[in-house]
Amino acid sequence: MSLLVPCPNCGAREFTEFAYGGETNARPEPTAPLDALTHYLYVRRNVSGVQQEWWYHRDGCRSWFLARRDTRTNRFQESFWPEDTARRGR
Amino acid sequence: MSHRLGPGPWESIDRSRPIGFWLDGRDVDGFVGDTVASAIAAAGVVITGRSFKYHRPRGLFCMTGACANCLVRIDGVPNLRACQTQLRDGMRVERQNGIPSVDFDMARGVDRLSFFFPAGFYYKAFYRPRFMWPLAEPFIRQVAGLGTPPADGAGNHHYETVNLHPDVLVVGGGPAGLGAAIESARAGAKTLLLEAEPSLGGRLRALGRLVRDPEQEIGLPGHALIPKLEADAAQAGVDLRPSTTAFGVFEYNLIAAAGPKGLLRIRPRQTVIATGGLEQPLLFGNADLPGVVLAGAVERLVNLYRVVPGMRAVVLTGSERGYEVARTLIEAGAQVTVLDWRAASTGPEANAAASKGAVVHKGAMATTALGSTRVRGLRAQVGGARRRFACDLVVVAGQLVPASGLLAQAGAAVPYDQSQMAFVPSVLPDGFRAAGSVLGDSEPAASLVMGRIAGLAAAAAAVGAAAGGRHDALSKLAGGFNQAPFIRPPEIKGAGKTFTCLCMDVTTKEMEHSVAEGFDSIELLKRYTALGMGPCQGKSCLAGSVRYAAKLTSRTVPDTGVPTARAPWMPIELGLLASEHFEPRKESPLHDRHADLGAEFLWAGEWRRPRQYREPAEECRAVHERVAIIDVSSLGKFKVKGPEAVALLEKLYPNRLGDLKVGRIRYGAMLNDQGVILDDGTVARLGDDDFFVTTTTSGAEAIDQWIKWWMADWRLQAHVVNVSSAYAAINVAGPRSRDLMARLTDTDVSAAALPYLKLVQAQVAGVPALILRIGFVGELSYEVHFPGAFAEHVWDSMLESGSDLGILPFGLESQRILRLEKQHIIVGQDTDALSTPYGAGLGWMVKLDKDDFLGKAALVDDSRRELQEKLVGFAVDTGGLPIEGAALVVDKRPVGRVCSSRWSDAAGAFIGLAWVPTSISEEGTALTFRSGGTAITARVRLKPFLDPEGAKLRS
Repeated sequence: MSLLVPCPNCGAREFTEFAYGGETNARPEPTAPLDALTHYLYVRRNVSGVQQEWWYHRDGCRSWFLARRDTRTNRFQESFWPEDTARRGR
Repeated sequence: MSHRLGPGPWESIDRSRPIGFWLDGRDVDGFVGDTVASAIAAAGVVITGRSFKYHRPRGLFCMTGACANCLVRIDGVPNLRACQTQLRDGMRVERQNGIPSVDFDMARGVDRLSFFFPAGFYYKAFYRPRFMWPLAEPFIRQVAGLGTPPADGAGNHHYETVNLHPDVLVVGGGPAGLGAAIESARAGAKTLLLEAEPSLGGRLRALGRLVRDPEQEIGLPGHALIPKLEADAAQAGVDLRPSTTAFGVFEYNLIAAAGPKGLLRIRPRQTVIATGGLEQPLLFGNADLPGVVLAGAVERLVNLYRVVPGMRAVVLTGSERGYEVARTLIEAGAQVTVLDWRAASTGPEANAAASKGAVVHKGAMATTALGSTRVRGLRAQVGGARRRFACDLVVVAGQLVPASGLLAQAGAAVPYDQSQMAFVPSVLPDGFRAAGSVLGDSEPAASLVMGRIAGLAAAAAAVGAAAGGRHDALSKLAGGFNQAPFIRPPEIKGAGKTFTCLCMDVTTKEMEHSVAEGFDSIELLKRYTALGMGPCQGKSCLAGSVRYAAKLTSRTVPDTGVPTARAPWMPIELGLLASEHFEPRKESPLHDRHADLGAEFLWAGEWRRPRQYREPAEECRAVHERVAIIDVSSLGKFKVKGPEAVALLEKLYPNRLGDLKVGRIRYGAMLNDQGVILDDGTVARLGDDDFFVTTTTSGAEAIDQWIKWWMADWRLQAHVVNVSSAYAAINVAGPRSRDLMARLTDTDVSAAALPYLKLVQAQVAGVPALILRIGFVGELSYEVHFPGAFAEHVWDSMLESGSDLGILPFGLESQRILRLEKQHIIVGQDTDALSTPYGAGLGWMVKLDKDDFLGKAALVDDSRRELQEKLVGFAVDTGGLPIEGAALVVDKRPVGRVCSSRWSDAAGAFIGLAWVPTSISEEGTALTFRSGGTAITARVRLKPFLDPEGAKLRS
């Protein structure tokens, strides 16, 4: 693994500087049925293609951001702050 | 005995500086400028090692670092390529894999037992009958393999990792690479050049032929051109790194290289691959005998090191190159016979060789080499007749195929080229260019021009340098070169083992067996026979193996294909990959004080914290009876402020925090959405929308990340600032702690003014501080937080003014005993990834009637189910101290485990915390632990061992 992750603050940096937050995954309301909770906690879409995901620049600016990455090629298409997009959940 | 020729025009040895080294304990001479391999050859030693499986003798073969025949142990480090290692005075060189020695190897008999070791034998031999394997395995392990690892593990080498970010990286320091680097640096790009060998020049080094460089007035011999190119490169500012091997291309064009000091991680903007070509052997019987060598090895031995590897040579060739080598040998005094597999051939080199006395046979091809420990003769087919030649040297001048491994790893397409009869890189990935023989066998002069063009283009792409007219001029020159098509040798079956892969001792027969057993695709053949999986990674065998596989499976060569190229492309030392690994290490601002007090330190996460200063029992006594202080600066500390600070904390904690009064403190745990405890600490309210939150030492970083993540999602109007490293903190504990605090601060610290779970902001020892009435150890205590710069002053003031109270510092070991006496849990020690507040006895903090908090939905569900396991205290009746992790056993089955256990003087027993099934969690229930093979009986104790009502804590 030698990805360069595009931090919106710091630019492209070695992926070892980052923590990966996984694919965005909307948190259900606390009143949602158990199925919805189980799905949110344990089931991942595992997209083969472009997915939106969380990254945290742990050894850098210590900020969370969202990125769109093609899981087949590991190429990032873009990265942006959570407030710069319509809320898509975690 | 010296086998050196008289001085030659471009020898690399310095005859005025003789040096000595040890070869298997024997004192041997060499010169400065020798490689270990050339010095071994000059000493007349022919066998350089024994082979991997059959213990066959092997000798120098390629001299360019491409094969694995010359792997030796040098100064204790195994498997180093002798031909790529410069000779140093006093070196200890040992040849490998001989039992007991490579010259007299008792395991040589394995060669004759080869029917025991068919292709894939490790999958099928010696498994039946079953008693065979335990007998066979030690023998196989003893016999197979190459070097033995250094006894002391890592050896004495120190490896470092360096990150480099050149504009243009050039891999390969031959004519193409040097040309590329010169042009790139001149165009203004920061250029780095890697050359695997100790000297630059590649093929030019041993080349006597004239090479025309557009920069020079006249054509110069290859070796004479190198210093000029090297000077140009240095003058242009190229960072030249010889003895540095690029061995892998990884995602996002990360190139990994092994240098003299360690690992290089290179992130260039543009890369020019100029790794040249690889001379390929020919397939004939016993072609692995010492004395059968590649043409490049002869050129190097004779021209650079002035060693003639044999005086009666047979040269096998199908091109001008064979005649060039023949001439070199004749000039060195050898008798030469040329077997040319072409029926007719003419050319300037052929004529020159013949005129100098070479005997030439056309339409001739070797079938079997003869000899036991070195080549003594050669059987061949000459024009349909069988002939036998006496010789002590067989030179293979065959095909040069592209060294395309790095390009293939980078993602280049490497299709089969019919005219060159080789796999040649064609479509290159973004950021990569290539020049020279890596794109097909090319003349040095052509490589030089191609390299210059690639360097210009790379610089243009990397830094926007204008190539312009120079590019056009060079391109015109490049048009003048042609590649000669390769003419394939005929395939004639000979006697003896015919090896397709020297590293792993794979023969044509084993390939035949594999195909017969159905392993007929090239990838399966590779895995089943281990073909190409040795140290050379197929560099000196792939072309022949693929061609043979194609023949066996009646496919075409392009349909057969090549196995996936993988790193490492060149053999590297394992220590390099394990090179320096940096771990953060955190020290409290009081670290020096602890050291001065004689503290014994331990790792607590990334922190170095005092384990103890003296006997923990004595420290505990000070806490219980007098006053003691502990440095808790490593706690995570956060300021949470803003109009929605309450809303944020209400979501982060299962506790209710909105009703926490200003000046009050509440204990809380943070959960994830599975309801599992992540961390615990305190929340102190300093103002309506102003909170001070603490976390555990080891959880501080993770909680910082956790809170920020939810903040990014919820976007509440609140600020969370991590002040962990800005503040120091000291916990003052013990019945006399109030007396001590009263001496250090003007504020009222009486039980009435500052009761349990209340806070006050005041000066302590003249330093602005936050005093929290909280404690982990069960006695009256104060946790004092203050700016870290004053840490030593406050610590000293406490010890000084408490000296008459019998104050002592205490460490983590005492703290762990003290908190066990109170049954206070440590998150991560007593909880794991399945522990919810209900099981851990923290159910009281969960307010399910709150709107929402992290973990709520899971806990609502949990609260409806019966609790399976509980964390309970225990005291041992008999059997001693159960280890942490000891199993709780019921009916011989493990049903629970001990998380924490210690001896407590105050309780007068071994005590601890354990997870037990709810059915046996009642007060007084007998428990049996299995610890290190002994049974320990204990009883459940649900109340703290000391001060169960918490009277001392609240006093």
